[in-house]
Amino acid sequence: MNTFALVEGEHVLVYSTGYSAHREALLAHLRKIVGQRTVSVAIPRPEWASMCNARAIADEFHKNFDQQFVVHQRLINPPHLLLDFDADSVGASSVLAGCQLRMLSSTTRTLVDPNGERGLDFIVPELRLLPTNWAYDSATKTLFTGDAFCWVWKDEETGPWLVDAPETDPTTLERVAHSLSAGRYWWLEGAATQSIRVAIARLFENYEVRFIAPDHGAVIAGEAVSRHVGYLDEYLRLAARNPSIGIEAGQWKTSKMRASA
Amino acid sequence: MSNSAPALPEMPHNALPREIAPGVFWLGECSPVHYAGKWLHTYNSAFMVVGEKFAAMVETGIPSVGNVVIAQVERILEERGVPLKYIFVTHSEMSHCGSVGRLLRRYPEAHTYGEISDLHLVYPGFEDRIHFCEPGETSDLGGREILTVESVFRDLIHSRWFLDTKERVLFPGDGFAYSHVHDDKECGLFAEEAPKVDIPTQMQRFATLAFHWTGYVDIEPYVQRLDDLFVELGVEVVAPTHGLPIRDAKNSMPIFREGFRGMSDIHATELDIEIYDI
Ligand SMILES: [Zn+2]
Ligand SMILES: [Zn+2]
Repeated sequence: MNTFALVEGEHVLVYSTGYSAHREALLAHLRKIVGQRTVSVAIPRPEWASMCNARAIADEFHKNFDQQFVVHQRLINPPHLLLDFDADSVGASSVLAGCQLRMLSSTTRTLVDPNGERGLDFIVPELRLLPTNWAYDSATKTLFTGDAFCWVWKDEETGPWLVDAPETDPTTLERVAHSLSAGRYWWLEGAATQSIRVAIARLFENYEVRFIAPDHGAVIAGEAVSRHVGYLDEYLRLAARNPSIGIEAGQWKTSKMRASA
Repeated sequence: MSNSAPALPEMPHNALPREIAPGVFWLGECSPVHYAGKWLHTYNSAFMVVGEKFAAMVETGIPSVGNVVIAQVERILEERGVPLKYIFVTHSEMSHCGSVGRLLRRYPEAHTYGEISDLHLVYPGFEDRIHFCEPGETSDLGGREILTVESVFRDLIHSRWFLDTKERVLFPGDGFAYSHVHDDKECGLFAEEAPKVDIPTQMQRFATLAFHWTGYVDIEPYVQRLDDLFVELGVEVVAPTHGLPIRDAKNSMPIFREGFRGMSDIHATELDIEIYDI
């Protein structure tokens, strides 16, 4: 599970906040990066993997500065209600009650420093399940891809969690196919995927991408970028020829999923 | 800089909870959403089914309505005098499982069942009270059961639907999702009581925002399976998480069938636009 922090001068923008289970580790990492800087958070998709630690980050860092804590999100639901759901929460965070809500937009850059230049350009990707934004950081040429490109897993916790040369990369087309079709992209089997292929190809033409930074799994870097875009395109091409699993999957037992995971 | 948020509209008095069938309560509250310059209301509902011995929740709402749902649950349990034993969730997403952690903390005897794939990461410490459940399993409430049913329409692959075997109320999670217009005052109504709601248009709008996949698939087998399942289960009432409940499943089905078919007409290439205009 990945969370990313963008730094410019005295400001840090936390992109996606991860799961509650990783809270202490995340806060420990952030403490090292943040110091006395001002923190804001971006929640690129209204899902647990993006939002679980937003309140904890606000609790931890809001005292660093006099300004309002800023939350960038897609939903208009008030952050102090939407982001306060832990078992022991009161359901209305007093720290977030004073925050500033900014709506994510794919037409205006979300800045790290409100008076600076660095920021994230949010993109609505054609490959998505739920309302989802990808984001591009032109300073590092990083494309943040949320729940896509999440197919690089390692047997060891030590990784390495950045893949680039083929020797560091366990990925095969079969792993990509399994990760998509046995997970949230089950509907691609038998789907009309051509327009998704075109949109993905266009996106990688329009943006120079040196790093693909997904929410789960390794960061895909350098020469691995085109290899993984190729895996995705090839899977989408093949998936269109397969029969749909949409009806039968409704009856599948989760033991099937656990056995094949 | 990203855009500042528009001021929320003044919401009407909450029409919930409402008993939609004997012993089946609709909980939660409308949430405003802004779409194409208009205010709409969306439900992220929770439900409670009360048996002779135990109560069950089906769905728990989005976190932002957590305090509303928990107060409604407390009141009904007190009035009915039965304990909360089961918290069923169709899938682990936040608009369905927003109060699971708080409810598990508050009701130490209760366990959660459903498609719960990442819920242990959201609510650490409750791993032993969060369980997958499979189609065909039943849970006894005394005088009625909750049957776990296949999900015909879903986003997560192992999503589950549920049926109250006594009143034949189907809880189809993300199926039958549609909003209503803020000014139309249809909060808390059955679909059959809300003639102004344009169900096919609203189902299509919901798909554009949240069920992007429907634009790439042949939706017809899903419509067919839905029809067959309704007959197999003898469904009488439908209690969707994101729409007004349907009191007369059989007679109201044609308009929803039209709605499902319209969901495949969302054109993927047009979705490059700012799909949320907020
Ligand atoms: Zn939903
Ligand atoms: Zn309403």
